[in-house]
Amino acid sequence: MNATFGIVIAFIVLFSLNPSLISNLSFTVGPEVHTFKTMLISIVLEALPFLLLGVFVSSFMHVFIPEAWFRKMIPRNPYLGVLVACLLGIVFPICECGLIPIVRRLVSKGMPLYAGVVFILVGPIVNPIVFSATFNAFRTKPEMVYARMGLAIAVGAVIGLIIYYFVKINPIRISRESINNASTHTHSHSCSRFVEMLEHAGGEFFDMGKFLIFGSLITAAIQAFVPRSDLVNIGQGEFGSHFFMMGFAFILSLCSTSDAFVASSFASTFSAGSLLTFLVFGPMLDFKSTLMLLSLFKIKFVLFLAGLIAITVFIGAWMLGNHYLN
Amino acid sequence: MEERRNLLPHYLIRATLLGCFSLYIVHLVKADKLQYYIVPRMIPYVKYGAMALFLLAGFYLFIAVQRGGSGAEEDCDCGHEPPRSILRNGMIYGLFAIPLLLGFMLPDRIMGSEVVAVKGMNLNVATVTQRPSIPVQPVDAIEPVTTSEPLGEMPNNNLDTTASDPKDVVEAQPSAHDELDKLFPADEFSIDYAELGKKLYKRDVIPIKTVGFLEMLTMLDLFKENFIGKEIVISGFVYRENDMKKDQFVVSRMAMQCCSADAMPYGFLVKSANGATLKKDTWITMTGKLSTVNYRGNDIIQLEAKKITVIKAPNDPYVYPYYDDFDELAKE
Repeated sequence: MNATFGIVIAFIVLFSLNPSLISNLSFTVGPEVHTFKTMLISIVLEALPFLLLGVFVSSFMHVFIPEAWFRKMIPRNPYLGVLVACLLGIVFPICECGLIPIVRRLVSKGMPLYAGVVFILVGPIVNPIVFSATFNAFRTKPEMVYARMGLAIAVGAVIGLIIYYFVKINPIRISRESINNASTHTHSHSCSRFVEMLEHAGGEFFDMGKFLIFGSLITAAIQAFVPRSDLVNIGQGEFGSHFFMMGFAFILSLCSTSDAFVASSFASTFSAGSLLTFLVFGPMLDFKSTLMLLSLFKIKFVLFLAGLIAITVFIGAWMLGNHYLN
Repeated sequence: MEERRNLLPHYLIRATLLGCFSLYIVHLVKADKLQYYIVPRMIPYVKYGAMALFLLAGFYLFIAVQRGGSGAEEDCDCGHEPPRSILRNGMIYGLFAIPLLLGFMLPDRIMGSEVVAVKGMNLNVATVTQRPSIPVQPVDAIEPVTTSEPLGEMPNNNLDTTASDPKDVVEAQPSAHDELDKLFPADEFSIDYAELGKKLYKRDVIPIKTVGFLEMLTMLDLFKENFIGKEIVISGFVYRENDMKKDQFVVSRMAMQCCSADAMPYGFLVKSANGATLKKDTWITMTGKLSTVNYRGNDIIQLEAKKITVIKAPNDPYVYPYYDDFDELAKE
């Protein structure tokens, strides 16, 4: 066991000291593999800074900010609570890779479940970065920005209230007690607060990162091996285009800061309503974030949430598409 | 914490993986290849990310040394204990190793024909990037039609379209401007492109640069009839589809919004007598006369090549959306 580790580490040290050594081996692989590699590296590199930011912010909050503060932050009244959670993204503009570790921490620190879920759903959309990205992508069609923001808040509010009234069991994967107990025990030993924070950050990085990388692998595979024209030809029509766009957003797993540009490239082939579906559904639920959600919630709850998101986004986007965007 | 676990291997593996990610980014920065994967505006964040990864790697080494001797210290980790099964750990850490291995072992390649084959080439830029492309209409029908449709939603735009350049309209010779306005009909969607077109219309040679590449292509595609016969100077890589004639190919660039995953290829069809000799993915800079041709049922721009020079692939091969003033694009 230890010998294997030794060999692996020796190899890694060897080629990290001299990376060109390995690329000089240059064994031949098909062009798809190169495309796959390019896609994978680019998605991972793009998401890494945000994941790290999320992990560090969440660890910082865990170690340095008292729990009572979070309980006070969200008003007790569920309606106000949902509203505040909807708008939290404006203060914390973090996309979904970074958001899920933070919410995991917030919920374990006493933020109500419904507020946490609303923050996960709405936060990646209703924030200044995504606003400006969408505005730039649809500079010729500013209604799209307002429709996107508005629909995201509406969907978040509806789902938040449904969870408040109907979900009575605790769907969090790690029971609240264990986290709370662990964090209340005093770290009297040499583990200073800074060390503690880094240790949390590292743990969360590997916890969340595995989902991110798995999601990126699948996404890169689809991007490299399935022609986009095939994807586009799969579904069109009034309802079909909405469901197609949901599936498309789910599979592509783009970051909410960049998906608007992809959506705008389909503006000539798809209805405005179905693009809205893409823009609202994608950040709320995609392959990458589903895997990350599974690290936070039990499977049943994730499925329930996915169903709710699909239904509400579809109804909202269909109505807006017919009455506002055209 | 009844049971004491030796977390030392975990610390070491994590330190190694984090260190390698950090090194990989440094390697890409040093090789000046980060822009193959990420748009320039994202690069600083990736660099900060590399620093954070390095910090974490150093931290894991530190606690490995500090706690390593005495086996396991009571860990102040809360809910993040690594799973106990060796198989699961191997899979998780293996997952992190995949991008690293691919990254270090395969050469960094510029996206070219193989990516285009998957994503699909866009030859009529305007219909892709612009929502409703302007139908080219008989001149006298334009005035009322352009503004009637969007009037309901945005009454102000009526003003914008007609008086977007009020100084000129008042002062300069009205006849010439009327003519230009008729050649470049604009609605709220295309006003910027129409203005750009009017400025470039006077030129005989129109260079398309890396900055504003997509915008220039869009403008030319929107008003292609007006630019027939003009000379276009453009650079890009050679791409071919199976149904193109022997003397046809596409000169193309990949447009990237955020990372390679959202890159889309755009380009113009080129007709050149000795075009068949150019291999795919060759980078060229070319001068060609603009004409139109029907390809797969769409009227698209075709450049009749006058001069083609093979060039080295640029260090930053992609083009990015342009958010600045369109007036800058019209300058020499």
